Amino acid sequence: MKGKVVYVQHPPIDREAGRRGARRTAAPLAALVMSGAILTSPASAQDAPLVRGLLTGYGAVSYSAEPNNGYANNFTATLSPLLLQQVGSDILFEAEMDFELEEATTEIHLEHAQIHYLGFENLQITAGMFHVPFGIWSHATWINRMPTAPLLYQDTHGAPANEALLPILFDVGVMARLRLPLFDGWTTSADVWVSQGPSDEIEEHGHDPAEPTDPTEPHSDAAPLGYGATFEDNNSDKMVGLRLRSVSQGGVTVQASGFRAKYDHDSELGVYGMNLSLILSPLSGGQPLFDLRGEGILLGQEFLDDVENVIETVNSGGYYVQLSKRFESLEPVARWSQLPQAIAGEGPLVEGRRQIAIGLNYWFASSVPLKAAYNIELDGTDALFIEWSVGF
Amino acid sequence: MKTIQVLSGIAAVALLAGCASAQIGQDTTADLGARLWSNTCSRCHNLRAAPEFAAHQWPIIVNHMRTHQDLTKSEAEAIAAYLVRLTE
Repeated sequence: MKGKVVYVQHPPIDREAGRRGARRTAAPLAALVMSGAILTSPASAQDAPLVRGLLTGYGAVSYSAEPNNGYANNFTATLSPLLLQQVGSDILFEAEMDFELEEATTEIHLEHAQIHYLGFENLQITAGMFHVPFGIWSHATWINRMPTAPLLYQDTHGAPANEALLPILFDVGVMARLRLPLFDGWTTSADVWVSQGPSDEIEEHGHDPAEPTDPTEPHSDAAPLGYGATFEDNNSDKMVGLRLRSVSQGGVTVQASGFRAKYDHDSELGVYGMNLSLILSPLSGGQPLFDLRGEGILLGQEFLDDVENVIETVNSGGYYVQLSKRFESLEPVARWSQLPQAIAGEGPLVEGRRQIAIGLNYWFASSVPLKAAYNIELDGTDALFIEWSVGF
Repeated sequence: MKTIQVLSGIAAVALLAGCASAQIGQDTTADLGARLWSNTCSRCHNLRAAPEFAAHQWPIIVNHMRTHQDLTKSEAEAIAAYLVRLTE
């Protein structure tokens, strides 16, 4: 199926304009790499690297309903264009926007905007706003096998994950990925990144989610956190993270990742996260026999105990396991998610939740699934989700 | 945490299982591109057919995919060359 494509070919680059642009970027390392790439490129205009562009992305229409809540139901639609702009063969700029219809309003978010330097054999360098390599759950609708995220994640564009553990993490900074020659038969890599990190100063549109809606209800002493570029950087501290990933030729992926950061204005209160992920997806004739995947997350957040006036730590976490198998165009999916309750001081930072999600997908084409799933909430309200998405 | 311990145990078993499926022998460049495309790309999503994009677009897309995976520069070039051949 042909997607819509915009092909753009530009004349040779104005190198002086490129150097000015590089100095303005937030990441000194990215500027150094860009300068090196430009300085080593051919001097004549005729040999200047070719700039090529491609517009791709995905869209989706969705329907959700709560049969046990007065059958509250809602339609929505999204468009996520992805611009890829390649300079020569070693520099790639990509940016993705999200246009979402939400309560009769079109919400627009910059999902990511990043520059990659790909000129090294075993090293990739990325600067800008990127998907933090923590965990395996991603955002693209036609790639996920369920129309909803597992309980660990909430797609809130960096805002506090009120009903989950974390938003899908996008942040601004610098990242490097190094391929490591370890373990015969396995592809192993290490990612390190430095980025803006979380903040507890998350008031938006005059509303502070940290303020309890009912002051008589027990509330958490640990503040909900916003992540990434959604909120202004409130301190001089930066998130630092590491991911180790190893993939076998037999279709096994093992991944461990972690981060730490300070989130308050005075850089006194810290938060850390650890993730262990596993994917079993053995291939036969180039196609997965089945897909079994799971993630476990452990978070630790420091907070000031108002009564004792000491810094305490609240640990929260959760996990999910998901299994899917393709039968021609049909693909049944099942997922179990669990979020144990986490108490911080007087009240819960994370409400306990358990969910069984059962779904069935029909693939019109390799990037066009119609997905239906029923989420059985053992501690809440069940919901039906239908999503028709197109990757182009 | 018990959950992490269980997942760690599963990961250890999977690591040992994955070692048993190691590829033996050397590929030609064309074979390498075909094998990497089949094994690497299908790990995350369905394989997009080569005619879905034009020959000049595949190198850009493969570079975009390289940033999501652990491909070396040579491996990405092999995959792109393979897909470009399929579109010609």
